[in-house]
Amino acid sequence: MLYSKMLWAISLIAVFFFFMRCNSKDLEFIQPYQFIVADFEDTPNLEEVIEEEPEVEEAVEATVVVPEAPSAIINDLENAESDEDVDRESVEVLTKVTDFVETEVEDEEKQAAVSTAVDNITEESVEEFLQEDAEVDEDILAVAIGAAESVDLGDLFPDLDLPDLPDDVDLGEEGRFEFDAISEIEFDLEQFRVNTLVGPCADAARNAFDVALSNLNTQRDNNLNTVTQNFNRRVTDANDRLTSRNQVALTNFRNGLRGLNEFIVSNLRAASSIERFNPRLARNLRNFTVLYMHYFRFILDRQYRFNLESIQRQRNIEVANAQVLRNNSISSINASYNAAVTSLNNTLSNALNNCHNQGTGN
Amino acid sequence: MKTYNKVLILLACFSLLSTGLTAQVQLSKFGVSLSQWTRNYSEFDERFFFTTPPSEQGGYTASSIMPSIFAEVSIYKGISLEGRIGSWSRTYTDISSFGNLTIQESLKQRVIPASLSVLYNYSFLDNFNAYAGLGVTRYFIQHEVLRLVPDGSGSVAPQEFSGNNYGINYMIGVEYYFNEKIGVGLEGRFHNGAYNKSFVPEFGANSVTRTIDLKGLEIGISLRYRLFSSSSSED
Repeated sequence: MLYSKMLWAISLIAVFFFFMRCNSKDLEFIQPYQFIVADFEDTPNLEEVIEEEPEVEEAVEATVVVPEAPSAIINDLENAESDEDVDRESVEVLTKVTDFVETEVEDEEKQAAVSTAVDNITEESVEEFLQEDAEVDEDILAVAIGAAESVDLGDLFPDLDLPDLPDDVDLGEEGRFEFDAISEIEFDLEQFRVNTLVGPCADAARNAFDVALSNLNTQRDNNLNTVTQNFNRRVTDANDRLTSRNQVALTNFRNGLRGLNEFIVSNLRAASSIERFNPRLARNLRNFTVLYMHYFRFILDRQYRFNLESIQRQRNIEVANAQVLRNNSISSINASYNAAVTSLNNTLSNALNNCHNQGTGN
Repeated sequence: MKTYNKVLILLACFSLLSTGLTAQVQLSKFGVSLSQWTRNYSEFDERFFFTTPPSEQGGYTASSIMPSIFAEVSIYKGISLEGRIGSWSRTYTDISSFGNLTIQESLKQRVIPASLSVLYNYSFLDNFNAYAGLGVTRYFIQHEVLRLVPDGSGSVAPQEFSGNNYGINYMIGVEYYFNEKIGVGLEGRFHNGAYNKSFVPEFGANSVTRTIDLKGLEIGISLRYRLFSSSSSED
């Protein structure tokens, strides 16, 4: 009897431990099936944008045509020691200049202005007159322009050859491009995402689509960055060329003033030389020198202003060309992107159609 | 789980205490049974983990025949302690076709409920005995999972997983004895349990855990051998 009781007690304890010994344990499961959607692997890449650099043309320039006659006259007078040494033609030409001032110019104020300038002209006053910011006496300049445009004296004065300026372009606000087409594409994609299945197959198709689309976006962004960088570089280059050309124009202007100064000084020295034996001829030479100096300065100013305007227009043309090139490139990039995304959408539709479970059983 | 443990401890203590005090503990009957256990799922079921899970959760039932063996120990008058172990099996399958791709998945499940229950036996007619009780069940679960992808990659050779969890069962039944030893029984037993399953919902995602119901009504018949009667009688 005691043995039986002990046996049952041991059995109950064993059953007890059968239940108590181990904690509960969760079950596990195999890894989910990995859908591999290869449909998007053949998606072609967007072509890398390659822009042909626009040809850079130089700005048209105004050219000063310097007459030969004045130099010949000065060469003649510089070495003259008496009237016999002076070429008769030089005397006649200079006399015509004085006659023009005294007879053709009816305005006495202008005559007086020329006369005063002739009386007071010195190397120092010439240097001061030929400073970049010096003011030109309008009365004297009017007489000088009249002389230069006269038939008899026209050959004594410089001429300005002005080429045709290109039409200026309106750059607006630097032609900023707002990438409207791209926003439109993203809106379309958002609409497309609405119609999708659920489930691992559809998720895999959508993931593959997202990867392919991400690649396209990256390629598009790279192309857009390239285009934007090219545009910015071209604008910077155009601005750099503007600065450089302006500097060249200024240098040329200064060189023109310097050359004019040297010529006028040689005139004054010739006038001083011939004054010893022919004061009248010396005054005629100073008359010519005053008119020549004012007209040449007037021509140089016009040339400089023309060149600055030409340079500015050339810069605007270069920026406009850069804008056109950039906008065309962006349009091309967006067109390629749109076509590729449309293709992706079709591929996704096919992939999702294949994700419809055509048979299932549990 | 701790609640079940406490119940087990109480049952064991009660048994041992009864053993010592009454000296009536002895094997009273044993037998075999064949029952139909119909599991009712309130949320997730075994199909949920396939590539194409059901579109709706809950409302699913799974039923199979379950053989069992049991033994009963008389403790005190009509009170006895029953130990029982069965084996319930079912195979869940899924065939999914995506274009040219077909995925066949199957899960062979075996649930082994091992229970320890306290019964109260009551004789109400000659040779008839009724009983009712409750107990703790430990559900041992074995899974064998495979995946076949005939026209593609991704097939998985059969893999086995096992786990267990606790539950409670309630029962009521009647038995009829043809003579002093041999009898048959009709029993209804309700299982109230569940087990946890961890899985990866998407490839590369983190594992999550879902609870699968093991609850449902089991109705069966049994063949019983009685060593002696432990029932209390109308008398």
